[in-house]
Amino acid sequence: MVVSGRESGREVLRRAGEASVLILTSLADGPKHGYALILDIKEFAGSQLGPGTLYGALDRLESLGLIEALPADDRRHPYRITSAGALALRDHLDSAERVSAVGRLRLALGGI
Amino acid sequence: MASPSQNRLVEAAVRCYPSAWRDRHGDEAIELGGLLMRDGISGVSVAWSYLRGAARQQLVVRASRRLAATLAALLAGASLVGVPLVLLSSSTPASADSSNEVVASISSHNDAAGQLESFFKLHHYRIGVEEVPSSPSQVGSILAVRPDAATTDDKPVPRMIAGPCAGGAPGCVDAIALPLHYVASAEVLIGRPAKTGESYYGPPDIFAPGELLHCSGVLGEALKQALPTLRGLHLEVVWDIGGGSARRAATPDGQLYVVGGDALSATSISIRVSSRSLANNDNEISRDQRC
Repeated sequence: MVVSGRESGREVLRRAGEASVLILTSLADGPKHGYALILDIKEFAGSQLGPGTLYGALDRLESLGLIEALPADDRRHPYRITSAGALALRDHLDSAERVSAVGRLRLALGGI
Repeated sequence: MASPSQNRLVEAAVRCYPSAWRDRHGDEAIELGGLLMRDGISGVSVAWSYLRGAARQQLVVRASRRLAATLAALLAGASLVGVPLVLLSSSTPASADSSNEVVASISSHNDAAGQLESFFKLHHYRIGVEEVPSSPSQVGSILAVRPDAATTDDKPVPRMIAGPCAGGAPGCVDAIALPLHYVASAEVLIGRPAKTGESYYGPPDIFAPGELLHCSGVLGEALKQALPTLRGLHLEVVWDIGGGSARRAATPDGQLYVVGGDALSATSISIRVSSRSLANNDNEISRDQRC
Protein backbone atom coordinates (compact mmCIF):
# COMPACT_ATOMS: atom_id res chain seq x y z
CA MET A 1 0.00 0.00 0.00
CA VAL A 2 1.34 3.41 -0.92
CA VAL A 3 0.02 6.57 0.66
CA SER A 4 -1.22 9.17 -1.78
CA GLY A 5 -3.68 11.68 -0.33
CA ARG A 6 -3.16 14.14 2.51
CA GLU A 7 -5.85 12.72 4.72
CA SER A 8 -4.81 9.12 4.24
CA GLY A 9 -1.16 10.01 4.83
CA ARG A 10 -1.91 11.58 8.18
CA GLU A 11 -4.13 8.70 9.19
CA VAL A 12 -1.61 6.09 8.15
CA LEU A 13 1.18 7.86 9.99
CA ARG A 14 -0.94 8.14 13.10
CA ARG A 15 -1.51 4.40 13.02
CA ALA A 16 2.13 3.69 12.21
CA GLY A 17 3.09 4.90 15.66
CA GLU A 18 5.49 7.24 17.37
CA ALA A 19 8.65 5.54 16.17
CA SER A 20 7.60 6.14 12.58
CA VAL A 21 7.17 9.86 13.23
CA LEU A 22 10.60 10.00 14.85
CA ILE A 23 12.19 8.19 11.92
CA LEU A 24 10.54 10.42 9.32
CA THR A 25 11.62 13.47 11.29
CA SER A 26 15.18 12.20 11.40
CA LEU A 27 15.19 11.47 7.67
CA ALA A 28 13.75 14.90 6.84
CA ASP A 29 17.25 16.39 6.70
CA GLY A 30 18.80 13.61 4.65
CA PRO A 31 19.28 9.85 4.27
CA LYS A 32 20.52 7.82 7.24
CA HIS A 33 21.13 4.18 8.11
CA GLY A 34 19.91 2.42 11.24
CA TYR A 35 22.63 3.36 13.68
CA ALA A 36 22.66 7.00 12.56
CA LEU A 37 18.89 7.10 12.97
CA ILE A 38 19.10 5.82 16.54
CA LEU A 39 21.78 8.36 17.47
CA ASP A 40 19.93 11.24 15.83
CA ILE A 41 16.58 10.37 17.42
CA LYS A 42 18.21 10.08 20.82
CA GLU A 43 19.70 13.53 20.36
CA PHE A 44 16.63 15.43 19.21
CA ALA A 45 13.90 13.49 21.02
CA GLY A 46 15.68 11.96 23.99
CA SER A 47 14.24 8.58 23.06
CA GLN A 48 16.39 5.47 22.82
CA LEU A 49 14.78 3.53 20.00
CA GLY A 50 15.28 -0.22 20.36
CA PRO A 51 16.77 -1.86 17.27
CA GLY A 52 13.82 -4.24 16.93
CA THR A 53 11.41 -1.33 17.04
CA LEU A 54 13.56 0.55 14.54
CA TYR A 55 13.57 -2.20 11.93
CA GLY A 56 9.85 -2.87 12.40
CA ALA A 57 9.10 0.80 11.80
CA LEU A 58 11.47 0.99 8.82
CA ASP A 59 9.80 -1.99 7.18
CA ARG A 60 6.37 -0.53 7.79
CA LEU A 61 7.28 2.92 6.49
CA GLU A 62 8.85 1.39 3.40
CA SER A 63 5.80 -0.76 2.71
CA LEU A 64 3.67 2.37 2.99
CA GLY A 65 5.87 4.18 0.49
CA LEU A 66 6.86 6.83 3.02
CA ILE A 67 10.57 6.00 2.88
CA GLU A 68 12.77 4.12 0.44
CA ALA A 69 15.96 2.17 0.82
CA LEU A 70 19.05 3.37 -0.98
CA PRO A 71 21.74 1.02 -2.28
CA ALA A 72 23.58 -0.65 0.59
CA ASP A 73 26.78 0.92 1.82
CA ASP A 74 28.70 -2.22 2.82
CA ARG A 75 26.19 -3.96 5.07
CA ARG A 76 24.34 -0.78 6.05
CA HIS A 77 21.17 0.24 4.23
CA PRO A 78 20.55 3.99 4.20
CA TYR A 79 16.95 5.16 3.90
CA ARG A 80 15.51 8.39 2.62
CA ILE A 81 12.14 10.01 3.00
CA THR A 82 9.90 10.01 -0.09
CA SER A 83 7.71 12.89 -1.21
CA ALA A 84 4.70 11.00 0.19
CA GLY A 85 6.56 10.60 3.48
CA ALA A 86 7.38 14.30 3.63
CA LEU A 87 3.76 15.14 2.93
CA ALA A 88 2.52 12.77 5.63
CA LEU A 89 5.05 14.09 8.16
CA ARG A 90 4.17 17.71 7.43
CA ASP A 91 0.49 16.94 7.82
CA HIS A 92 1.10 15.08 11.06
CA LEU A 93 3.20 17.90 12.50
CA ASP A 94 0.62 20.51 11.50
CA SER A 95 -2.04 18.51 13.30
CA ALA A 96 0.17 18.02 16.37
CA GLU A 97 0.89 21.76 16.49
CA ARG A 98 -2.82 22.59 16.43
CA VAL A 99 -3.48 20.17 19.28
CA SER A 100 -0.51 21.51 21.18
CA ALA A 101 -1.67 25.10 20.82
CA VAL A 102 -5.18 24.28 21.99
CA GLY A 103 -3.85 22.25 24.91
CA ARG A 104 -1.54 25.01 26.10
CA LEU A 105 -4.28 27.63 25.76
CA ARG A 106 -6.76 25.59 27.75
CA LEU A 107 -4.20 24.84 30.44
CA ALA A 108 -3.53 28.56 30.73
CA LEU A 109 -7.23 29.45 30.82
CA GLY A 110 -7.84 26.82 33.44
CA GLY A 111 -5.09 28.23 35.58
CA ILE A 112 -3.44 24.84 35.98
CA MET B 1 32.87 -3.48 24.88
CA ALA B 2 30.33 -6.28 24.54
CA SER B 3 31.28 -9.68 25.89
CA PRO B 4 31.21 -12.69 23.55
CA SER B 5 28.18 -14.04 25.40
CA GLN B 6 26.27 -10.80 24.81
CA ASN B 7 27.17 -10.91 21.14
CA ARG B 8 25.93 -14.48 20.94
CA LEU B 9 22.72 -13.48 22.65
CA VAL B 10 22.06 -10.74 20.10
CA GLU B 11 22.91 -13.07 17.22
CA ALA B 12 20.52 -15.68 18.63
CA ALA B 13 17.76 -13.08 18.83
CA VAL B 14 18.35 -11.98 15.23
CA ARG B 15 18.11 -15.61 14.14
CA CYS B 16 14.53 -15.59 15.42
CA TYR B 17 13.48 -13.35 12.52
CA PRO B 18 12.13 -14.91 9.31
CA SER B 19 14.82 -15.82 6.80
CA ALA B 20 13.69 -13.17 4.31
CA TRP B 21 14.11 -10.52 6.99
CA ARG B 22 17.53 -11.87 7.94
CA ASP B 23 18.60 -11.88 4.32
CA ARG B 24 17.87 -8.19 4.14
CA HIS B 25 18.67 -6.86 7.60
CA GLY B 26 20.50 -9.65 9.44
CA ASP B 27 24.12 -8.58 9.01
CA GLU B 28 23.30 -4.94 9.61
CA ALA B 29 21.18 -5.80 12.65
CA ILE B 30 24.03 -7.71 14.27
CA GLU B 31 26.44 -4.89 13.51
CA LEU B 32 23.96 -2.36 14.89
CA GLY B 33 23.59 -4.43 18.04
CA GLY B 34 27.36 -4.41 18.45
CA LEU B 35 27.50 -0.64 18.06
CA LEU B 36 24.73 -0.12 20.61
CA MET B 37 26.47 -2.39 23.10
CA ARG B 38 29.69 -0.47 22.47
CA ASP B 39 27.72 2.66 23.38
CA GLY B 40 26.72 1.15 26.69
CA ILE B 41 23.35 -0.45 25.92
CA SER B 42 23.20 -3.87 27.53
CA GLY B 43 23.22 -6.94 25.32
CA VAL B 44 20.12 -8.19 27.10
CA SER B 45 18.25 -5.02 26.18
CA VAL B 46 19.33 -5.22 22.54
CA ALA B 47 18.47 -8.91 22.33
CA TRP B 48 15.07 -8.38 23.93
CA SER B 49 14.26 -5.61 21.47
CA TYR B 50 15.11 -7.95 18.62
CA LEU B 51 13.06 -10.74 20.17
CA ARG B 52 10.03 -8.47 20.35
CA GLY B 53 10.63 -7.39 16.81
CA ALA B 54 10.99 -10.98 15.67
CA ALA B 55 7.73 -11.94 17.35
CA ARG B 56 5.96 -9.19 15.45
CA GLN B 57 7.68 -10.06 12.20
CA GLN B 58 6.62 -13.67 12.54
CA LEU B 59 3.06 -12.45 12.91
CA VAL B 60 3.33 -10.16 9.95
CA VAL B 61 5.60 -11.84 7.50
CA ARG B 62 5.22 -15.55 7.60
CA ALA B 63 2.63 -16.81 9.95
CA SER B 64 2.06 -20.21 8.56
CA ARG B 65 5.41 -21.87 8.31
CA ARG B 66 7.94 -23.03 10.88
CA LEU B 67 5.56 -21.78 13.51
CA ALA B 68 6.54 -24.32 16.10
CA ALA B 69 10.24 -23.93 15.39
CA THR B 70 9.98 -20.18 15.47
CA LEU B 71 8.08 -20.09 18.73
CA ALA B 72 10.52 -22.55 20.23
CA ALA B 73 13.38 -20.31 19.19
CA LEU B 74 11.63 -17.24 20.57
CA LEU B 75 10.89 -18.98 23.83
CA ALA B 76 14.46 -20.19 24.10
CA GLY B 77 15.76 -16.72 23.33
CA ALA B 78 13.38 -15.08 25.74
CA SER B 79 14.34 -17.45 28.51
CA LEU B 80 17.97 -16.58 27.91
CA VAL B 81 17.12 -12.94 28.27
CA GLY B 82 15.00 -13.68 31.32
CA VAL B 83 11.76 -11.96 30.44
CA PRO B 84 8.06 -12.70 30.80
CA LEU B 85 6.75 -15.01 28.13
CA VAL B 86 3.15 -13.89 28.00
CA LEU B 87 3.42 -12.51 24.48
CA LEU B 88 5.31 -15.46 23.13
CA SER B 89 3.54 -18.45 24.63
CA SER B 90 1.37 -20.26 22.14
CA SER B 91 0.35 -23.72 23.09
CA THR B 92 -3.42 -23.42 23.18
CA PRO B 93 -5.16 -25.78 20.75
CA ALA B 94 -7.36 -24.27 18.08
CA SER B 95 -10.59 -25.28 19.73
CA ALA B 96 -9.80 -23.81 23.11
CA ASP B 97 -10.28 -20.35 24.41
CA SER B 98 -9.59 -18.93 27.82
CA SER B 99 -11.56 -16.35 29.74
CA ASN B 100 -9.24 -13.67 28.42
CA GLU B 101 -9.34 -14.59 24.77
CA VAL B 102 -11.70 -15.14 21.89
CA VAL B 103 -10.61 -17.63 19.24
CA ALA B 104 -11.48 -17.10 15.59
CA SER B 105 -11.15 -20.43 13.79
CA ILE B 106 -11.36 -21.41 10.15
CA SER B 107 -13.31 -24.60 9.56
CA SER B 108 -13.31 -24.49 5.76
CA HIS B 109 -10.31 -23.46 3.68
CA ASN B 110 -12.69 -22.67 0.82
CA ASP B 111 -14.45 -19.92 2.73
CA ALA B 112 -11.78 -18.81 5.18
CA ALA B 113 -12.06 -15.11 4.42
CA GLY B 114 -15.85 -15.14 4.68
CA GLN B 115 -15.78 -17.03 7.95
CA LEU B 116 -13.33 -14.64 9.58
CA GLU B 117 -15.12 -11.55 8.27
CA SER B 118 -18.38 -12.80 9.76
CA PHE B 119 -16.68 -13.59 13.05
CA PHE B 120 -15.02 -10.19 13.37
CA LYS B 121 -18.23 -8.41 12.45
CA LEU B 122 -20.26 -10.45 14.92
CA HIS B 123 -17.84 -9.67 17.76
CA HIS B 124 -17.40 -6.02 16.74
CA TYR B 125 -13.66 -6.30 16.18
CA ARG B 126 -12.12 -3.68 13.94
CA ILE B 127 -10.27 -6.30 11.96
CA GLY B 128 -10.27 -6.49 8.20
CA VAL B 129 -9.58 -9.52 6.03
CA GLU B 130 -7.53 -9.41 2.86
CA GLU B 131 -6.91 -12.31 0.49
CA VAL B 132 -3.39 -12.57 -0.92
CA PRO B 133 -1.88 -15.02 -3.44
CA SER B 134 -0.40 -18.09 -1.81
CA SER B 135 0.98 -21.51 -2.58
CA PRO B 136 -1.72 -24.19 -2.95
CA SER B 137 -1.11 -25.63 0.52
CA GLN B 138 -1.62 -22.22 2.14
CA VAL B 139 -4.91 -21.39 0.44
CA GLY B 140 -7.49 -20.68 3.10
CA SER B 141 -4.92 -20.34 5.88
CA ILE B 142 -3.95 -17.26 7.85
CA LEU B 143 -0.70 -15.96 6.44
CA ALA B 144 -0.25 -12.89 8.55
CA VAL B 145 -1.85 -10.51 11.00
CA ARG B 146 -0.92 -6.88 10.80
CA PRO B 147 -1.68 -5.33 14.17
CA ASP B 148 -2.27 -1.64 14.34
CA ALA B 149 0.33 0.59 15.95
CA ALA B 150 2.97 -2.03 15.32
CA THR B 151 5.64 0.09 16.88
CA THR B 152 4.27 0.06 20.39
CA ASP B 153 5.80 -2.72 22.44
CA ASP B 154 3.33 -2.83 25.29
CA LYS B 155 0.07 -3.71 23.53
CA PRO B 156 -1.23 -7.27 23.29
CA VAL B 157 -1.25 -8.74 19.81
CA PRO B 158 -3.34 -11.51 18.25
CA ARG B 159 -1.86 -14.98 18.80
CA MET B 160 -1.47 -17.50 16.00
CA ILE B 161 -2.76 -21.03 16.45
CA ALA B 162 -1.36 -23.76 14.22
CA GLY B 163 -3.59 -26.11 12.27
CA PRO B 164 -3.62 -28.19 9.10
CA CYS B 165 -2.96 -26.66 5.69
CA ALA B 166 -5.17 -27.21 2.68
CA GLY B 167 -4.39 -30.79 1.70
CA GLY B 168 -3.80 -31.82 5.30
CA ALA B 169 -0.12 -31.02 5.79
CA PRO B 170 0.68 -29.62 9.24
CA GLY B 171 2.15 -26.24 10.04
CA CYS B 172 -0.34 -23.68 8.78
CA VAL B 173 -2.36 -21.26 10.88
CA ASP B 174 -6.10 -21.73 10.91
CA ALA B 175 -7.08 -19.70 13.96
CA ILE B 176 -6.09 -16.64 15.90
CA ALA B 177 -6.71 -15.87 19.53
CA LEU B 178 -7.70 -12.30 20.26
CA PRO B 179 -7.55 -10.64 23.65
CA LEU B 180 -11.14 -10.31 24.85
CA HIS B 181 -10.99 -6.53 24.88
CA TYR B 182 -8.86 -6.11 21.79
CA VAL B 183 -9.79 -2.68 20.54
CA ALA B 184 -7.02 -1.95 18.06
CA SER B 185 -7.66 -2.32 14.37
CA ALA B 186 -5.78 -4.98 12.46
CA GLU B 187 -5.72 -6.78 9.17
CA VAL B 188 -5.68 -10.53 8.65
CA LEU B 189 -4.20 -11.87 5.43
CA ILE B 190 -5.67 -15.10 4.04
CA GLY B 191 -4.12 -17.19 1.30
CA ARG B 192 -5.98 -17.51 -2.00
CA PRO B 193 -5.02 -19.33 -5.22
CA ALA B 194 -2.38 -17.33 -7.09
CA LYS B 195 -3.13 -16.16 -10.59
CA THR B 196 -0.64 -16.68 -13.40
CA GLY B 197 2.44 -14.59 -12.79
CA GLU B 198 1.52 -13.60 -9.24
CA SER B 199 4.14 -13.94 -6.53
CA TYR B 200 3.20 -15.83 -3.41
CA TYR B 201 2.80 -13.78 -0.27
CA GLY B 202 5.48 -14.61 2.21
CA PRO B 203 6.90 -16.47 0.39
CA PRO B 204 6.55 -19.95 1.91
CA ASP B 205 9.43 -22.23 2.78
CA ILE B 206 9.62 -24.69 -0.11
CA PHE B 207 10.80 -27.50 2.18
CA ALA B 208 7.91 -27.14 4.63
CA PRO B 209 5.19 -29.81 4.79
CA GLY B 210 2.81 -29.47 1.88
CA GLU B 211 5.27 -27.57 -0.27
CA LEU B 212 6.95 -28.73 -3.44
CA LEU B 213 10.27 -29.94 -2.04
CA HIS B 214 9.13 -31.31 1.28
CA CYS B 215 10.58 -34.78 1.77
CA SER B 216 12.44 -34.43 -1.51
CA GLY B 217 15.79 -35.18 0.11
CA VAL B 218 17.21 -32.04 -1.48
CA LEU B 219 17.63 -30.06 1.74
CA GLY B 220 21.16 -30.51 3.05
CA GLU B 221 22.38 -32.21 -0.12
CA ALA B 222 25.39 -31.05 -2.09
CA LEU B 223 24.10 -29.08 -5.05
CA LYS B 224 25.58 -31.46 -7.62
CA GLN B 225 23.41 -34.24 -6.13
CA ALA B 226 20.33 -32.07 -5.79
CA LEU B 227 20.41 -30.61 -9.29
CA PRO B 228 18.66 -33.50 -11.09
CA THR B 229 15.68 -33.19 -8.75
CA LEU B 230 15.58 -29.43 -9.06
CA ARG B 231 15.83 -29.53 -12.85
CA GLY B 232 13.08 -32.12 -12.93
CA LEU B 233 10.68 -29.56 -11.50
CA HIS B 234 10.92 -27.51 -14.71
CA LEU B 235 10.68 -24.28 -12.72
CA GLU B 236 12.74 -21.13 -12.83
CA VAL B 237 15.33 -21.32 -10.05
CA VAL B 238 16.79 -18.18 -8.49
CA TRP B 239 19.98 -19.00 -6.61
CA ASP B 240 20.54 -17.28 -3.31
CA ILE B 241 24.15 -17.24 -2.24
CA GLY B 242 25.60 -15.66 0.85
CA GLY B 243 22.53 -14.66 2.77
CA GLY B 244 20.53 -13.27 -0.09
CA SER B 245 22.92 -10.52 -1.02
CA ALA B 246 23.86 -12.24 -4.26
CA ARG B 247 20.80 -13.66 -6.00
CA ARG B 248 21.52 -14.82 -9.50
CA ALA B 249 20.24 -17.01 -12.28
CA ALA B 250 23.44 -18.94 -13.09
CA THR B 251 23.83 -22.29 -11.37
CA PRO B 252 26.38 -22.03 -8.55
CA ASP B 253 29.25 -24.36 -7.74
CA GLY B 254 28.04 -27.94 -7.33
CA GLN B 255 30.09 -28.36 -4.17
CA LEU B 256 27.84 -25.95 -2.28
CA TYR B 257 25.08 -27.27 -0.07
CA VAL B 258 21.36 -26.62 -0.30
CA VAL B 259 20.41 -24.94 2.98
CA GLY B 260 16.96 -23.52 2.28
CA GLY B 261 14.57 -22.13 -0.26
CA ASP B 262 11.28 -20.42 -0.91
CA ALA B 263 8.38 -20.98 -3.28
CA LEU B 264 8.22 -17.65 -5.09
CA SER B 265 5.32 -18.35 -7.45
CA ALA B 266 3.73 -21.18 -9.36
CA THR B 267 6.61 -21.05 -11.82
CA SER B 268 9.65 -20.01 -9.80
CA ILE B 269 11.52 -20.94 -6.66
CA SER B 270 14.58 -19.66 -4.86
CA ILE B 271 17.21 -22.02 -3.47
CA ARG B 272 19.70 -20.93 -0.84
CA VAL B 273 23.13 -22.53 -1.02
CA SER B 274 26.08 -22.30 1.31
CA SER B 275 29.57 -23.69 1.69
CA ARG B 276 28.49 -24.94 5.13
CA SER B 277 26.25 -27.96 5.24
CA LEU B 278 23.27 -28.42 7.53
CA ALA B 279 24.90 -31.43 9.14
CA ASN B 280 24.81 -29.82 12.56
CA ASN B 281 21.38 -28.29 12.23
CA ASP B 282 18.95 -30.98 13.28
CA ASN B 283 15.96 -28.66 13.17
CA GLU B 284 16.36 -27.90 9.49
CA ILE B 285 17.01 -31.48 8.51
CA SER B 286 14.20 -32.94 10.59
CA ARG B 287 11.80 -30.42 9.13
CA ASP B 288 12.43 -31.83 5.70
CA GLN B 289 12.46 -35.43 6.78
CA ARG B 290 9.18 -35.36 8.68
CA CYS B 291 7.44 -37.20 5.85
